[in-house]
Amino acid sequence: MGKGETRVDSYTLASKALKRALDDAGLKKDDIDGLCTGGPLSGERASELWGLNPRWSGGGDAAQCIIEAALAIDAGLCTTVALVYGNAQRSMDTAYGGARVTGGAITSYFYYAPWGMTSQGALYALFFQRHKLLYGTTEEQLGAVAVAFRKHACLNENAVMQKSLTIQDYLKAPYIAEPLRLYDYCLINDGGVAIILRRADMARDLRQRPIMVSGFGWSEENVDATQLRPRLKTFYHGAHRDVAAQVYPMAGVTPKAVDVFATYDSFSVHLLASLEGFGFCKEGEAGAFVQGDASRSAASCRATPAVGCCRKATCRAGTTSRSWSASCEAVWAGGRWRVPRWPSTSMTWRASARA
Amino acid sequence: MAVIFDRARLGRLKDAVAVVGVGETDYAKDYRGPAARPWARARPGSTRTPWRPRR
Repeated sequence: MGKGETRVDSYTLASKALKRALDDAGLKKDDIDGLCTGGPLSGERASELWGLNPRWSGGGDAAQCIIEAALAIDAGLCTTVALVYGNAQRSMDTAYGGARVTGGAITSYFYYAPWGMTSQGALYALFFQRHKLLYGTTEEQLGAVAVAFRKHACLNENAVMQKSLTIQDYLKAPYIAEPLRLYDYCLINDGGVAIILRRADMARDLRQRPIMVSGFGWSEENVDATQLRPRLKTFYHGAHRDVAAQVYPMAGVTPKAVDVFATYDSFSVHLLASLEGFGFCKEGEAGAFVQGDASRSAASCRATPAVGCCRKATCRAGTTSRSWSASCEAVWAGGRWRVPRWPSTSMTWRASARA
Repeated sequence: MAVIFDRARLGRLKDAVAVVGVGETDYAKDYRGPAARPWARARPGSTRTPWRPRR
């Protein structure tokens, strides 16, 4: 906790976000008949605390919840779903790593614990090391990602980090797990975010112009998970390609039509893998794709690598929650990042196991 | 393994649902006091205590 910061809990943060989302939509909580919770939230407890009585509830990570909710709405199980995430991990002094994380037990991070790694950073350092060896990707190229993310963060007045970052700053920063440096890691933040998703024919005549969900995809890569194959050997590309094969035809677009690309980015290297897997550049060429200015690639498509969502960057809730909201936010408008009030082309996807 | 999904069934869900509202916490309003320490001064290791389940 920093001096002057208010100690909060995950449910309080989530409830604030939910209230603002309902206000944004012009809906009341009684209009909510579906609930999807993420992070440490229990849907049952959240409903009790917030006075909700959903007919359907689900939960999960990031875009997974959007897909779950869409399927539930389509099946007629509900019409209006609140997707809510809150996490007070900074207030709780949560650490994602260390020998005694989760009491020393091999639990959620089963995939790297058998190899003696004690943090995600160690795993993704290997991830990037392999990308370097295979494709000649440089640390300067990876640094361009961190610089771009910070640049985007500085455009968001609600960002934690507001000071611009140069490539020199990046390269001077210490390695945390070589070849990943300090700025390759996301912050551990507090925060909450909520999205209200509604059946399309009921979405008209509300306070905001609805943002249609035009495509989504889902794929899993669980074979040889503890052998780290999806992460270290294929960079998740199998799942990326599966999802791309679903989402692009469904939405009726190609990568060149995508204006904003937001991906899970707990570590900067995720962006390189995602750009390749989703067809913004060829496999192994993401380093060159982002070199110089990752936010305005020289490549023909206008993909904006991430939206400054997590990384040393914006919101209080870290990567997962930003992945939640990234599908409907952060479109460049009038010189600032803002939640769009018009249809835009962004991507929602769920691929592979969580990272 | 071949990718198996039903393009027609999936495609039917295009534009079937819409985002109608978004909300998020406000760092200044919800979280920071007037004398708050700037986050930019936070250093690695400032989150000291690994989380452990209570026994």
